[in-house]
Amino acid sequence: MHDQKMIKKDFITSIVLIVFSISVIVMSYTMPRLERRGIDPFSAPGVVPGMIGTVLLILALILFIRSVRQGGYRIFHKETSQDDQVQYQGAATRVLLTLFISLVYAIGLLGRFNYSISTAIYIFTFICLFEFRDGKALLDQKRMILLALIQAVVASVLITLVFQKLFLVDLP
Amino acid sequence: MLEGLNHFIDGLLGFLTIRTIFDILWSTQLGIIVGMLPGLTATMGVALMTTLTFSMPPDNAILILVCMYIGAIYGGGRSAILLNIPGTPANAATAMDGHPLAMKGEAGRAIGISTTGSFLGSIIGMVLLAFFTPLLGNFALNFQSFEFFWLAVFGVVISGNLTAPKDPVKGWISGFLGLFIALIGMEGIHGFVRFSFGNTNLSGGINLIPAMVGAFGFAEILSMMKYRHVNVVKTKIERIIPSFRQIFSYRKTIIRSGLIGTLIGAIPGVGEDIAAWVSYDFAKRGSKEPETFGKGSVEGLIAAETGNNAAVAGAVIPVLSLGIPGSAPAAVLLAAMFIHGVRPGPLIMIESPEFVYKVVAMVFLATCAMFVLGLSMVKYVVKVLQVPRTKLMPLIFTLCVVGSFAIQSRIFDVRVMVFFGILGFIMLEMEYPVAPMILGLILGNMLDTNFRRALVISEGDILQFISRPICIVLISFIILTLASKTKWFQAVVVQVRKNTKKILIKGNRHE
Repeated sequence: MHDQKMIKKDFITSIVLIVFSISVIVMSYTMPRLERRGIDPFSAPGVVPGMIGTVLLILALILFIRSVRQGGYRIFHKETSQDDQVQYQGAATRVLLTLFISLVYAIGLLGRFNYSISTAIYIFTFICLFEFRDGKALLDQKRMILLALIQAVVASVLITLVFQKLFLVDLP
Repeated sequence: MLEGLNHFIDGLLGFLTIRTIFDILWSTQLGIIVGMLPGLTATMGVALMTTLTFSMPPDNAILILVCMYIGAIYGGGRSAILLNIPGTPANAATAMDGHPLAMKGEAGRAIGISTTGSFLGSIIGMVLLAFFTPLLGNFALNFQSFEFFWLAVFGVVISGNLTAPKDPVKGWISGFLGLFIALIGMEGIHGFVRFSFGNTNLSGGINLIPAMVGAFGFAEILSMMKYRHVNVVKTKIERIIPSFRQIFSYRKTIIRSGLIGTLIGAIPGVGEDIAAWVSYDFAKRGSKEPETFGKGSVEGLIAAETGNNAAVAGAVIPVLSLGIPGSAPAAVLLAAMFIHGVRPGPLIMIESPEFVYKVVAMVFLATCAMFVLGLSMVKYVVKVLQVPRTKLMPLIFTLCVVGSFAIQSRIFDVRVMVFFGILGFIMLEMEYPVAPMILGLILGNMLDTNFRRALVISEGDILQFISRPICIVLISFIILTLASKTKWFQAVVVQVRKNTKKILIKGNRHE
């Protein structure tokens, strides 16, 4: 079951890799050879990228042919086992949520707003998002929210102080 | 040899100040905690420490990194034993027998055994580090551009082979992808900017530390958040000091695992996880009680822990002698050495031989600290494992951000970290090993400049690449590595084994 899913994934990644490696080869080929500067053609900047692109293309083709032979091009495959479903229930949502708030923090907030405040907001939001229980009323969860707030403030202040004052490191 | 011993003693004495001993203790303890926490790996710990020790004198900074490295690889065994979740990938084999022992109520004993195994493994690795680094370094002095090119190819190929035993093609793809990423930015011969698409930040190339923090830190956070819940430890820990008589009875396993661990550690980009598995596998094959493996075998636990800690010192051998890392945390160590103005590589035995033995002294001190700390305060330190990941992961991410930002104070590096985190997560999901990519990232520049330089020297004569003696050896290794995964090669090996057995049996009968 698991293998079938992987074959499907291999099929998709191999196509992505084929497109990627062909673009690398094309870009390497079109790279200036710097002949006007009297440079030895063997030391042209595109030689090695072209070579690596070709090796990547060969490997991607091997993966592609193998996955096609094993039926990876079929769109549908059987569902995963019961055990997997329980352990990974909502896995995609959790990963995407983590990714989203981490991106907002690292790319959106940092560098634009104060480091300590951004960090406290990030830690607070992260804990609240993942520790919030759907069925419970907001008031019943005030302990969790309060603890998250304390952790966020303490952690953010500590990180700022330790890195800036103790280790003399720049912060975003 | 005597000169080496002198350098070692000088190095050791130089480190015996109150300030340095304090540094050794806190960094090793921090390493143990970092290793214990699932989601924080040794690589991430060493990378973060590189940032923190940026302003310290080189020797102290590198000593702290070595302590963190050794502590983390050892510390990962604790969560493997108590939670059945390896704290770092290097401790996956530890969980096989460590956790069943904990389930039997012998968690303390398992921790004691793993500490002693790690200590002995590290000491064996240290001795081999002291012995082989000068030898390999002196041998590598014969290397020219042709050899360095093949060495880079060999590194990527063997790393891909061993980190993806189920599907080496994916390991090789990962390695060559890393080689490609290393080519982004200004190249070293003509100063031409490649694949930067007009972005000034990209034209400076991809920095190793943000890439590694992303691939081993952020990717790990995303992986950890996949699970609905992680069981919190509730095991009682009693007696920790192991029975040394019992440990002595496994001396053969310890020596074998130490040697295997160091050897695997020294292979470029392979690392402690594979070293632990190979040691474990060999111990099982050589054991009088193979049926107990996986059910709480002391021998299995010793083999895994001796193997992974021996690999730490093993991984430092190529760092010092060739400038090529043996594992992912060793790659950060290599980058940190460059940051602090140390230039490891074949010339190190000529330029600064004392540094090699200083590193040996560092490994020795870190190992002793690990042994002492490993057998003390266990009950209190394992409480860290009770922190829920929903509270821990945002903290780790903020550390990832600071770790990638601090070295050059560029927001661009934070973006690089995020990109590599996502890429690393996708690779994990698609079952591509990340380690070869990181090795590729380090070796890319070496491969690029040496290949082109060799072509210019030989005026395009490809024959020179395949006719020089060391090149022939390296090419044979590469071909053997590639061929070892093909069906026909395995069939030939089986046939040869059968025939050898037949011949041996016939020979015995004649006698």
